[in-house]
Amino acid sequence: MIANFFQSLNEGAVDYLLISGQATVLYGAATFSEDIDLWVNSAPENRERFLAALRTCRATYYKLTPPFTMENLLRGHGFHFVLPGSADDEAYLDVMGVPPRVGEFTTAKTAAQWKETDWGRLHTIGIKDLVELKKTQRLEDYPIISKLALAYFDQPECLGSPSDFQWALRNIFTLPELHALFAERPAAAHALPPETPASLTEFAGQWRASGDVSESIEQQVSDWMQAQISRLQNVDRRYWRGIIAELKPLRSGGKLMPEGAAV
Amino acid sequence: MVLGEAQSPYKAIVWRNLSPRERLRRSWAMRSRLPDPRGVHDRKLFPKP
Repeated sequence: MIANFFQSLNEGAVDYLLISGQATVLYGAATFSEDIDLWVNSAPENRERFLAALRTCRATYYKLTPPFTMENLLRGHGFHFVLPGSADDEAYLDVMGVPPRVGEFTTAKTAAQWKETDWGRLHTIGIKDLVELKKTQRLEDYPIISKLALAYFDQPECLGSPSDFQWALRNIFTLPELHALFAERPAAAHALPPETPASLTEFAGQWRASGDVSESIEQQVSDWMQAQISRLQNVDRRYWRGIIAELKPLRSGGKLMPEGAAV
Repeated sequence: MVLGEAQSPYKAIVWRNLSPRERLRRSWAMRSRLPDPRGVHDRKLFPKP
């Protein structure tokens, strides 16, 4: 059923990118995701092609889904669908036209990769855009982001340059992954970003000197990481506040798509 | 495969060396063992305030 859906997307020339959970699984940064998330190019003709693919697969609307209009796509709303299957095999499909913290679709597409899977060839968002998308309010996303930062060095586009190390250091939010970066890429300890806090500078210095870091410095770096996570969670919370506020009148006015209705 | 096995340190070490195809296959196989995939999805997507 899911393979048929992606076949419909590819045969219908739908411009999409696989994002979020399944993309993190494909890059090896997560081991599990229960749904499928897509970023769909919000160009009008592509919107029509996407709707046709959903209809081919007998998709239905799911909860809290506004009408799949150009206006709602461009306003950043999420659209939720169910791809039918057996009772325990239906798949949840979450779609956006303008996701947070990433640029234009056409730009993201240039960094995307085709991944060969049992569901067919999946056009998968690039790691750097995926990292930005995962800076959500969910605490559990930050270890995944940190693993994505490590996985970036396995990608063909990564040159292992100082700017690559600096990008990784800005996107590692967990101590095990920070240790892993320095262990796997010792040059990273010599390429700290200019805004690096004193605690992380000391961490890198101790690592360079002895391959080990004192507990007190680890604690200071951990505290700094927690503060960074809190800041990003707040940014995401503010981002969604306006969009959620727009859903409330749609819901009270009976203008959301009825759950279970065919697309 | 159960969730505990999937999250074990051993699994974490080997996970990066699997192909994307194999990772997706194993991940989706784990999903099929969830007693309530709809509930898991809803709790993530529509958290209670």
